[in-house]
Amino acid sequence: MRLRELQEAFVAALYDEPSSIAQAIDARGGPDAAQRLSIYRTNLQAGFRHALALGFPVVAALCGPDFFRTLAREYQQRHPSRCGDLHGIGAPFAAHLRERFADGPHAWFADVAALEWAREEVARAADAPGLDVEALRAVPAEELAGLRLALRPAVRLLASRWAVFDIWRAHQPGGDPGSVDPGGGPTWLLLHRAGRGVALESIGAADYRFLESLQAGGTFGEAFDAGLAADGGFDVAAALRRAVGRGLLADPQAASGNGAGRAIT
Amino acid sequence: MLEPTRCGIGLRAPHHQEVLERLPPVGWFEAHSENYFADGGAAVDTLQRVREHYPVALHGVGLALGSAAPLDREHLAKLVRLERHIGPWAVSEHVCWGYAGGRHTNDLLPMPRTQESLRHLAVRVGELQDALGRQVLLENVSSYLEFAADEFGEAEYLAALVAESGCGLLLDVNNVYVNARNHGFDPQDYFRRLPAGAVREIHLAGHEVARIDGHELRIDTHDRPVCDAVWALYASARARFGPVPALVEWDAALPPLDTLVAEAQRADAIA
Repeated sequence: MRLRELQEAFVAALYDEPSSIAQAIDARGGPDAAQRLSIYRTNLQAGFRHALALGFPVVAALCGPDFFRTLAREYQQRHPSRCGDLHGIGAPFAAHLRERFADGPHAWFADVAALEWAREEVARAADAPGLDVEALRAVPAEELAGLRLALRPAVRLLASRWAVFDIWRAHQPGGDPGSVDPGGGPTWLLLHRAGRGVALESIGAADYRFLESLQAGGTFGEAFDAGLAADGGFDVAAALRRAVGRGLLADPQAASGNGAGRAIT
Repeated sequence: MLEPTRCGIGLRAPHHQEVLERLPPVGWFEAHSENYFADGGAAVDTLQRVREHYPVALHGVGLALGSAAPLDREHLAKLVRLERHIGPWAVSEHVCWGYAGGRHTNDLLPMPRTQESLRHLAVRVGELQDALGRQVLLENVSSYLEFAADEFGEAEYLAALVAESGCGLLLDVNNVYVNARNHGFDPQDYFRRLPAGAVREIHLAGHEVARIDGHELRIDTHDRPVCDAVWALYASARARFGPVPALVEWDAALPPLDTLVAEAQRADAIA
C-alpha cells in the first residue's frame, strides 16, 4: 500500500466506512487490528466532541451529555474537521442545527449556537485600531452622509426571534437555566471586544439596523435610513455616540478601499 | 535566544490568568501553536506577555507533516506569523500524519516506517524549516499499532529523518516508554540508536495502563503525574543526551498550576 492509500484507508476506517486498512496493520502479539483502530476512533470522536463543547458550552449544557454525544457524532460525520486547528470546526454548527431541528421544539438551539460562535469570533478577531473621534468631528456636516464608517473586526451582530441572550446569561455562573422562556424574544444582540473579554449587549432594533448597515459597508446616510426604517424616532446622533463610546468603529486607515464613499483622511 | 536551563510546563488556557498574575517558578513555557493562531484577542496577548517573562517554545499538533495530502499552506502561514511574533527558543512538530481524503483527524497518527514515508516526511520537514528559516524539532509519538510494511525500527526511522532533513529531535521519554511496552523494544537500545547531538528537548508526561482483551496496552493520556518508570528513563536520557531543556506535559484533567510546578521541580531535581 502506498502512503496516500494507507492513510485514506486508515481515516475511512475511523469513520466506519469500508476500508482495507486492517490488512496493513501488524497486530502480532496483542489486541487485534480492529481493537487497535478503535482506540484511534475513540480519540477522533472524543477530541472532536470536547472541542465542540469548548466552543459551544451552552448548547452542550442544553443537550446534556448523552444527546450532545449523539449530536456531535452526527455533526462530525457531516462536517468533519478539515484542518489542523480544531477551532474552525464550529463554523457550520449553527447552520447544521438549524437544519437538524428545523421548526421542532429545539429550533432555538441553532440561534444559541450562532451566539456562541459569534462570541468565539469576537474573541479571536484582529486587534484593529479604533476610530479617533476628533477625526469624525472634523468632517463637514454636508459630507457626513457619504461617509463610510466601518466596524472593527471584533464586532458581531446577532438577531434572533428567540430569547437567546437571556438563555445564554442563564447558563453563566449564578444563572438559573430553568428560569428562561426561549420564546421570550426577539433579541437584537451586539458582541464586541471589551478589555481581554467579550461584551454582549442587548440593543434596540434601530441601533441594530444602523450598525448592520455600517458593517455591510453602507454609508452613514444609508445606515441612518436603515435605523429610521426600524424606528421612525431613531436618534442617529445618539446611536453614533453609543457606537463611538463602545469602540465599535474602525480606524478608516485600516478600512480603506471599501467603495465610493468618502473616507476620513 | 538562550535555551532554558530549568524544566518547563505547558501553557494551558485555564491557567492563563494565574500564570500572568503569579509568574510561577518554572524554567519556560510551551504553547501549542494552534491555540494561538487567532488574528488577535486575549490568548495571543497572554502568550506575548508570558514571553516577556519566560522562554517559550511553539509546539505544533496539527500540521500533520507526514500526511501524503498537500501541506496546508494557510496553517503553515499562521505558524510562521506566530513564530515571528513570539520569538520562541524552539519550534517543534511531530513525526506523524493526521490528514487524508479531505478529513483531518486532529490526532498524531503513527507513520508507516517505510523508505517512501521517510523521503516524504524529510521533504516536508525541509519545507517547514525553509518557511521558518530555522531548524525544527520533531517529536516521537506514542502509538497503539504498527504497520506490516514497516522497514525501520522507530529509533532508526528518527535517526534517518535527522540525517535526511537536518531536523533536531524532541524526545518524548513517556512516548518511548509507552511504545516500548506496547510494541516490545528496549528503551535503552532505542536511546543508543538516536544521534546524541540531535536531541534538543525532552518531554515528560503521564499515561494510562489499559487492558484490552487480556492484553495490556499503554495509552498516552497526559492526564496524570509522570510514572516512576518514566522518571527512571528520564535519568538515563539525561545521561545519554545531556542537560537539554525538559518539559512536563499535562493536557486532560488539568490539575492546579502548583501540581505542574511541582512536577517540573521534580524533573529539575533529577538534573
